[in-house]
Amino acid sequence: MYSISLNQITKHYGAKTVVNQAEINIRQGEIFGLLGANGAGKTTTMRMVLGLIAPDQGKITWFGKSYTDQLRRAIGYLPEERGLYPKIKVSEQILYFAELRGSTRAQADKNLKDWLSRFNISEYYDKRVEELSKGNQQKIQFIAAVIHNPQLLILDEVFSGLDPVNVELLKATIKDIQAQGTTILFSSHRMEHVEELCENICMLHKGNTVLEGNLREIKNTYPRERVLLETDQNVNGFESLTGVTDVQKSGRKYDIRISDSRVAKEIMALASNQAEIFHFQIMEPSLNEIFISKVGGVNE
Amino acid sequence: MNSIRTVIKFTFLNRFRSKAFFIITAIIALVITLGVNLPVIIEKFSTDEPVRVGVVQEGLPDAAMLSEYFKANPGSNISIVLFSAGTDGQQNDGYLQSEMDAGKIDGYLYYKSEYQVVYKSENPLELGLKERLQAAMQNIKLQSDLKTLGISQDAMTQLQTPLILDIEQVSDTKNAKTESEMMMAYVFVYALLFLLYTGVLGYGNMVAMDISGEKSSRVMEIMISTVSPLKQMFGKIVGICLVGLLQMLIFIAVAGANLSIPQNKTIIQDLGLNVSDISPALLIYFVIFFIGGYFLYATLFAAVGSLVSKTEEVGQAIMPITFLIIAGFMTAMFGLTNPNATFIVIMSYIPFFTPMIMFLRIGMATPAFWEIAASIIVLFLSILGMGWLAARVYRTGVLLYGKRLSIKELRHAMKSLQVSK
Repeated sequence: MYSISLNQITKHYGAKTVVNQAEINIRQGEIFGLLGANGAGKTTTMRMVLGLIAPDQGKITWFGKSYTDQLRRAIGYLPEERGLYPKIKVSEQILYFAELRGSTRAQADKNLKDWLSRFNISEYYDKRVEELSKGNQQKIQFIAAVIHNPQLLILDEVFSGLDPVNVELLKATIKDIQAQGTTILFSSHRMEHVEELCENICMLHKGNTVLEGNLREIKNTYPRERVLLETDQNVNGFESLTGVTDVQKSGRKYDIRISDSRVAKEIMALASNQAEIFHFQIMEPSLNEIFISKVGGVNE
Repeated sequence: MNSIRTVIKFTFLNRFRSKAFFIITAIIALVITLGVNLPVIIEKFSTDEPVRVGVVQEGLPDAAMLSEYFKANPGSNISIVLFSAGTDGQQNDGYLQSEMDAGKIDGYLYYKSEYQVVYKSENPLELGLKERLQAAMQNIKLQSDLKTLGISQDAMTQLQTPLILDIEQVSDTKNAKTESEMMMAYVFVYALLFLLYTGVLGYGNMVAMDISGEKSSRVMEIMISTVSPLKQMFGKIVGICLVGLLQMLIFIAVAGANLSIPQNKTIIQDLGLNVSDISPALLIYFVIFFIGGYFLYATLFAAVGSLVSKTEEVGQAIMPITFLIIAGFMTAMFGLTNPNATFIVIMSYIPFFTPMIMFLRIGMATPAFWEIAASIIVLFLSILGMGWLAARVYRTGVLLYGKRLSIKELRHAMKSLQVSK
């Protein structure tokens, strides 16, 4: 049984089709990546998953059932546009959200204190949100989404605005939450985060699904067109090999583009004749490259 | 589910614990205290000494009688200071002027022509002083004229016996109101109308501000995914209603406490008012109409607040609702003196005006019970209707950001953004 299943979902705003026949199935306990440029239909899809708006066509099921009011308590949501009450104490508003989602105050208070100490911000329990830095507000926002131990967690651009240390902290946290069996729907522009966290993805472009399925399998269908090489001496003559399309050199590191993965062997042979090889790798395409090739535009 | 209770509690406590609530309540309580005690304060500060009016004995005929008149009527708070005449009028004028400059008198009277007396003073004319002086001089003139005409003392007394006019309201129902009751009703209805007006406007505004505030801080995104828009909206409306009722209760208690101070009690009695003339039914109607009026307007305010993305724009967006309330209040002010005018009667059935105008009719006239019941039923049915409509606008509005929508666009959005059930 899927935690969330979108079956041929279509949504129009007026004459505009925002989501066109989307088919997304998310297994329990997985992290699912929803990708797309701005305006691709991610937010609308997420709002439909949240039950805020209904699709025009198709059917969504949550844990195998249709939408009920009870589902609000099973879902945690971190919106892309961050929103907290600026003038209200952190503890007060987090406990408010938790109570609304059916937690008891005492349980929620304990959870909140655990979360704050995990994020090393215990001293903000009694602070007003407007007194906090952007990054710390973000952590509070994250806590607001998970305070009631949701079965389904929806994270829209969760890493934006965080420094690298906190990105790593949050990544580890998300993996922990997943390990406890929570299903996570995750959206991001940053493909490296998606690559690291998600098993399955769905890529939207102007409302249409352009890629869907297992990330590993998707990558395998793309040819390996890149070789990274590091040697102890200069190596010449890569350009003359047939199948090599581009060579970028920085120091003794080479980034070679090829049109056919078989050329990689010749590159290896050529390099080992002239120098000692420290590092040789045939790169699979990055999700970023796949994204750009599919969406065509700039990855914002 | 008790999530609506959670919303009510959160809304109420946030308002109640805010500094703004405390400061505003304290300031208004202070203003009420001052207002109630104003007559006593004025009395305390105003000099008990009568206004000293200088008169040249020979410059004014019957100057002695005028002096006697004011001695016999100490309540008029005027004392006549008599001076002996100089050689001519001009000199007297100058002499009295110098006496006034020396602070021996507050002003002086002199004849300009036979029927024209002038009162000169440096101070701004004290309230009612002119009337008191005129009444006295008119009275003396009448008496001396009558004497000149040869009318006997008995006839004069008879002539001057005043006619007493009592006002009593007659109506088809039995509960006719005495003058004191009507006076009290007027003051009371006026005060409550004002509370109703400021309350509905002020707390309705708060609802709109709160909702657009949640929208602009984007907490709304979390809120709508956490609790159903309907519960959220009504939770907020009820929460602020409780804050409003609490505040009103504080104000009424402050006013009541001040009125029960002995000095103030005597003043109310001096005005011919009797607090026991207030009918308790009127207070019950006040609560009904306050809650009814608040809910009707608050749902409107909530709907409008949900459409505005920035709190700065709220004032502009709620302008039409504000005008509606002001129109109701203005009509009610007019209706205070004409509670039985046809258009007042008609307007008392229009739900947006019912809270103020039917309340005013109950206070100032005697509408039949079925009339009151009918207007209350219409009012509460309209609240249900408005609540339904506002909830639909609300759950669409909270999802929309950006430009202001036209009604057509809104209807479109309401269709396409239908919330799944």
